[in-house]
Amino acid sequence: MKEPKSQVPYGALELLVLKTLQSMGPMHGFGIARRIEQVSEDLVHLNQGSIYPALLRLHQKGWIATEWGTSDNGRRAKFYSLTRLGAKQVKAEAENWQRLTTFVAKFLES
Amino acid sequence: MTWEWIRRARSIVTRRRLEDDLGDEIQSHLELAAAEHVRRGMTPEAAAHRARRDFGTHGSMREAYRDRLKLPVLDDCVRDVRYGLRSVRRTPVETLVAVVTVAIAVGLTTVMLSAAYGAILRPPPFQKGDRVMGLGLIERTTGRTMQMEALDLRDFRARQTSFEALEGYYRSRISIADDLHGPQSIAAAFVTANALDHLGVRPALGRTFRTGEDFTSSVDGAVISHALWQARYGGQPEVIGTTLEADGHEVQIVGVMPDGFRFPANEDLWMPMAFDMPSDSDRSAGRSFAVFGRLRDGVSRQTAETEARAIARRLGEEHPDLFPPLSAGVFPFAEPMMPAGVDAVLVLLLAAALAVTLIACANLANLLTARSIARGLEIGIRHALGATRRQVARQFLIESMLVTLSGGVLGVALVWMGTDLFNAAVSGIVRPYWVDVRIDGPVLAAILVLIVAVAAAAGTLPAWHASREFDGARSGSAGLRARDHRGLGTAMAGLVTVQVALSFVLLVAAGLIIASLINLKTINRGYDAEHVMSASFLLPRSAYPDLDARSRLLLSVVERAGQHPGVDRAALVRREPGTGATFIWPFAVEGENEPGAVADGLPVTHEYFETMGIGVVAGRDFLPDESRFGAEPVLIVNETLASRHLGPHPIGRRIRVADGEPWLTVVGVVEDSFIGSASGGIDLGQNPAEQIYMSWGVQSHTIATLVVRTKTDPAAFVPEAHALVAGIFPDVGLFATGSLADAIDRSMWAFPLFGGLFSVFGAAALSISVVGLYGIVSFSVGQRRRELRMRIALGADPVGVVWMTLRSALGQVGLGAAVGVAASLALVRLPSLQRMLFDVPASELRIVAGVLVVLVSTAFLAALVAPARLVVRPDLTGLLGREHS
Repeated sequence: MKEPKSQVPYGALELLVLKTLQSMGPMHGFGIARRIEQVSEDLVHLNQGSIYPALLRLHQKGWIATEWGTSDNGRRAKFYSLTRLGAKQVKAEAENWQRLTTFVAKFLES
Repeated sequence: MTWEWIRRARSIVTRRRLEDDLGDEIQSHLELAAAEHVRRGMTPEAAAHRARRDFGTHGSMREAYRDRLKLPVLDDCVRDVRYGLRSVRRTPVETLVAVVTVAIAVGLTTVMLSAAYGAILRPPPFQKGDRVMGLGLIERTTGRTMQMEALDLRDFRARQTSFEALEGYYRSRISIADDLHGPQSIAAAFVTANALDHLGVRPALGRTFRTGEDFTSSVDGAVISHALWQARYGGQPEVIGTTLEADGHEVQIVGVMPDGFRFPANEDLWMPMAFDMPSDSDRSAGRSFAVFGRLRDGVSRQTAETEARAIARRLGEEHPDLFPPLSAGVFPFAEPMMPAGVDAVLVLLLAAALAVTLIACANLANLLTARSIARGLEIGIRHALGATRRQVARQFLIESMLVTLSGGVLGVALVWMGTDLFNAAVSGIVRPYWVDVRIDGPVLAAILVLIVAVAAAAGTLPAWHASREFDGARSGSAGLRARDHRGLGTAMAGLVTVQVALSFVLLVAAGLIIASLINLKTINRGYDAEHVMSASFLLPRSAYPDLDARSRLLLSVVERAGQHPGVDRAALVRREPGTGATFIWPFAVEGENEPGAVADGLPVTHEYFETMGIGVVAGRDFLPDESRFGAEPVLIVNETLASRHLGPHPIGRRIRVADGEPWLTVVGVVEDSFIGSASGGIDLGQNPAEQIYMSWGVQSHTIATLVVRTKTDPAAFVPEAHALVAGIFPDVGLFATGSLADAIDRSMWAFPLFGGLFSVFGAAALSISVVGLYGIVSFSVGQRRRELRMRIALGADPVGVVWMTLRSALGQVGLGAAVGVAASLALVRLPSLQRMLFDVPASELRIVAGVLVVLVSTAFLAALVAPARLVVRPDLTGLLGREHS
């Protein structure tokens, strides 16, 4: 048995997606999912499928844009990229997350 | 945030494509993942398996994705509506009754609303019609409105700044020659040169009048209406430039107005003001006319009135010999042309219609509440399935909305037919043509608001109950217990009480008006118009300038009519008798000092009283010689005036009808007779009043009504009358011809119309309330069915059981009726209702008692049905089993 992995909490996933797109440029869904898994060094468990609702949410907020294109190995895939509005939001969302985790940490210590 | 919702709303539309997209995307994701695993050395099968595992569960992800593609509120509403439709379809009869009830209420309200809007609010169809105002002088001491004369208009034009322009008109009739039918009398208006242009309506053909064409006695141009153009000239465009013989003068037709245009009310022919501009030394040489104008942008009616008052005051001060102390008024253009008091009465009728709506609303509330009580189990289940309290309450509001909306749509559709009926009923009313009943934008908008308000009001009680039921479910008990319904029962009973009280008031109002109608039909009017023909005509002043000659010609009309073999008696009278068209004369009796005495006045020729069947009780009738112009001035009064002002010996006393006029000797006293009403019967209460008949020869006349007592059908005499008058005045046409009795009936249009409407309101209110009462009682019987059956099975007296169920319903009816009695006694004092009543105080209490009997017995019968059925067919099987409802 492998040791159980943590789940990605709700809300964090969107931030991870935004951050990924910010540092890696336009990517397709699988690429984003792999990148998150790699960076987390397999510490958290990610249902790769769950990034799609998150991507739709971000799209509906207007923070990311989509476009069908071709992947490195010649397959058709939908590519996501940060919009101008999204780029602005990354910083705000990251700060938000910092505040939240600081608060939770403090709360746990007390 | 907003953007997000807009995108979400858009994704509803593109939902299918996005979902397809997602399928492709998942496919591509899995392929990419599998390819990577293969690159690391897996077999293709293992790689595909691994890719799917890493992806996670398809289903829940797709669900989350799909949810994101919806607008939750809208989706829920669609679901609620679907659910609601199913739920109301389960009880088709109740639903149908509710829908029809709402339809009736909304229909009645819509008709009354459009009538009130048409009569009070709809602007005349001119450019910025709501800004077009009438301007009149007001005598400061009496408050009487006076028209202006030409020089008054000139002075106002020079001094005022509130109006874009000031123009004038006076309404008259013009006889136009017609080779085929003889001269025709046409409703016409004489206008200032720029009046038509100022309205902002362009002629369809030709032109209107040019500056300077007015105020001349030699008028030579005329503009005709589209309707007259069609009827007389078959719509030929060559009509421009042709001549028309109007009042014996040739005038040229210079223009045709567009289809539908009339001015100021229903006139078909326009000519410039046909008299010379008076000189400053003889200021009142012309005639008076109505003045109007469009307010300048940004000027309010009050501002304009303030300015007009100042100008009028100064005008009065500059000519103290000509004017009493003056003020002025600015009023909506159509106001002087509407029957007096009609607006107040329409508002009353609208209130009655709203009362019917209120009753329907109470009905619907009770129906839905009863249904929500019966659905306690369902609410419990919905709670168990995770519905929120808000969702449950919303469900009931939506059901209320469904019923109200379908009822409302049905009602408005019915009204589309009803307006035709209403317009036909009021077709004889003297009013500007745009004052009619039709459903236009503002009315429709108001009705929509009304429907939503009804839905919200009717849905509140059941929704409140449902949410309480929801709390009950949450606290674990299966639905509310009987005692928990008590508050609700009180609310429902209260609604029944309100319904009964409102119905009571409406029925009393209907009864009072119908009683007035009966009084009007049965009173002794003091004359016998049954066999009298009347026909009016107007002589062009210019064609008959010699007053003696004119008088002789007029009298020869009477003489020739009297010699006709089909005629008993004939006379001339200044205005159509019995229709309220009298003069109001302030009078004084010689040797007495009674300020403020006012009588209805009418100049008549000799034999008028015999023609009309009015008896002479003292003195004598006018002599034939006294009808001749310039004869000894005498008058005859009615009994009321004689007994109030002339003492025991009225004959020989002298009266004058205005300061400075000569004293006239009283030669006779006649029976009181019915004056009638110029406003359809509104304000008829003062009939008969004090009356003065002036001998025809005191004044010279250009307008006259020929009244003829015929031996056979009076209407059949009309062609003879045409020939008779044309034989003496070849260019003069007749108007308002026919049986005088019919004309008098028509002039009382308000009674049958408003009586009919109130009867409809009363009947609707009664039947809706009764249906509601039946529903409530049968519901409560249904709730207690098991208990009641048990009592019967155990041998209780059936009458006692029925009584038990009826008691509370009858209590509500009794309370409602008591409130209704009190309210209707107050209602009778209401001024706007008083104006529609005629001679009813005596029957007032009888009507209230009658309504009480009708309402209580109907309510009793309605309440009896459900419990009686239970007693007659107790259906005792299954009594001890589960209750099934």
